[in-house]
Amino acid sequence: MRNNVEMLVLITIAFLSLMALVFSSALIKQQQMLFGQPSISPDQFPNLTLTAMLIMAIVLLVKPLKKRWFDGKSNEEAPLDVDPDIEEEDEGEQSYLRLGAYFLSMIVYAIFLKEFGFVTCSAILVAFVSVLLGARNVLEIVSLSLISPFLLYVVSTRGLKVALPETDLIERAVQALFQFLGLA
Amino acid sequence: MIDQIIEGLFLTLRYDTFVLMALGLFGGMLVGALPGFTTLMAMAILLPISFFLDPVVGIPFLLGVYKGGIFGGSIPAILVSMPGTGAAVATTTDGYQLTKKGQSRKALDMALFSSVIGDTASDIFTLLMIVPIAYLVLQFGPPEIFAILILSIVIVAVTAGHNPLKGLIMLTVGLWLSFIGSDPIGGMERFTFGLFDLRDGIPLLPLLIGIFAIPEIAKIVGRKTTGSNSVASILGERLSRDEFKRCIRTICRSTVIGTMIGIIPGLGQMVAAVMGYTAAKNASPVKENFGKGELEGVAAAEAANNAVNGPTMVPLLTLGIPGDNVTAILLGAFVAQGLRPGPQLFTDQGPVVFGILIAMVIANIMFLAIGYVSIPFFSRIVTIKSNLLVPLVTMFALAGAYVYHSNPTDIIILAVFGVIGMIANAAKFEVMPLVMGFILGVPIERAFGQTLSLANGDFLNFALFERPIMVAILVATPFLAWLIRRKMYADKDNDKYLH
Repeated sequence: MRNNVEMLVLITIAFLSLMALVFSSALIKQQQMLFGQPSISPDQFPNLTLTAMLIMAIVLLVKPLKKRWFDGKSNEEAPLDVDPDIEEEDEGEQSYLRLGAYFLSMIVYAIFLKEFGFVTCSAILVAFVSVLLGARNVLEIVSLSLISPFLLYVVSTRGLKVALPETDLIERAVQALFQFLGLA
Repeated sequence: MIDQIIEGLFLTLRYDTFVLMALGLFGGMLVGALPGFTTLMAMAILLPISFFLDPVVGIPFLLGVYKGGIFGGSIPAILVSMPGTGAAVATTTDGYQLTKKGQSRKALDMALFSSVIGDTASDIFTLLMIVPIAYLVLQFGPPEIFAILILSIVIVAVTAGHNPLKGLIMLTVGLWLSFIGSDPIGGMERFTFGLFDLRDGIPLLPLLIGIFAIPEIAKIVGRKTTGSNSVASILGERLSRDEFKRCIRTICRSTVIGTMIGIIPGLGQMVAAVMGYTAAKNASPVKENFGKGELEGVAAAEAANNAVNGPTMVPLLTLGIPGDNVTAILLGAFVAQGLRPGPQLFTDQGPVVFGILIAMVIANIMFLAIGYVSIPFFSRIVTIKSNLLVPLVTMFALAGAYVYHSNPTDIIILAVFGVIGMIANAAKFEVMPLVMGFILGVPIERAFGQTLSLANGDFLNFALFERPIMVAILVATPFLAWLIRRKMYADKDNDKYLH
């Protein structure tokens, strides 16, 4: 399994570096020289790096591919990087689904952060990730998802003077709370 | 220099530095004590807090997290045989055996004392050595700086992980990522794909949090761990004076090993701990006791891994080269504070730098006091539920990525680098060379461009006859990298832990 991931990573790196080299003139703006000549053009260093990347990826790919295709050995018999002590981790479908949901929640959080504010978005995120990780105690989930974003918001905006996006309603509630506590 | 040190001392002697450093130490120990939650993750997530504090408060806060975390990692290593951080992997061998014998209190005390001694001695060494090194570096021009940067990234790449080629590939990926944005010589756009958000390049902070913290969190999410069921308990008597005296020689040896390893970029605490442990075992008249609950084993590993903390600041502060992943995060803190590491830092901001270095020494004294009192508390933490902690850590990470530029795109960049970090972990590619390449890509290109300008079109003659130091460093680079790698994996014991 891990060797397949390695192969895929190496093939991706080789392909992308090749594409970047082929289309480097389109991806890198060339300098319009008015005075003198630059010591190094903007594409010189990237092209050097991409060439090195491509060569090394091919070198790493050649050995297992050669064994697989010419010697008739499977990928598992021709490892790229033998490491027998590494324990295989839980790679079930459930695990991938959970990870997918976890990363999707981050993207959704980024999209709605400015619109719905930090406290609301964070409360939903905290509750969602807790449930995703198997928390089932409703009281625990609700208290954690309500208190922790609110506390972080107050500490960040009032203590560290850091701007976090928030709706007027919640900001007014925080101000009212501070006035009530005599801290405003 | 003395004036600057005294000024630095006065800058540090303020109550908020002490309070934040204590909080950092406590937080670091707390995170280090949780199996699965690493110091690196804690530092990446807490990094944004330091931006909004004065440099002599914010950076010592992060240093507190760092020091506390390295020691904190030894608590679950000793109590439940699960190293809280990679640095504590060698501590597990004898520490857990001592717990099984009912002597966990002794092991924890020994871990604390040897950590503090190793750390303090190496911090003092750093304080004394950093100025001469900075003055030496000041004599260097762009060609020598270019050669040193190349040497550093090559050492990091070939010593990271099992296969040096993989490290070098990750290094080139990091270099390529650093090219995104405007080129440092002519300011021309490269690889931005027309996206406005990429014109200034990829922001460092979301990259650091994404690539270091998110894969660690995702590992817990993937496994759905709900907390350790092991019962962590502190048993037995405290460490006696005689037992401590017996280990002093080992602690001193490990401190020297850790200090030397700390100066070399890329090796880090884990290598130091393993080498310190192996050296102690080889020097011991009772070799057979190692691995069966030998106090010297705990002392050797802990003194060595903590002795790395100070010297990693030498390449960081004098050349802007982060020695390991933790110092890469510290570099982010320095840059965000407007302190650009390099030899000029000592002439421009000398007192602040010395203030930070003095704070490192003071942190050790606080570390001893906080550690001694709070060990029983942290031992309870070992069994805390991760389904309550992971959501909080995620929220901190996302808020941290957002606050620096107040830009939600940074959260998406964080998620993307989180995925890249996870894929790299799955394929056994180390991410540290990528981060080094990303951080040092622009300085390398700039130094290379300046070198070519100085050469005036005749690079070969210029290099051979005017800059022999540059040529010597570049020629020595592959040999030095090979030698360091060989030394790292020379001993079978080292090989067992490092693989």
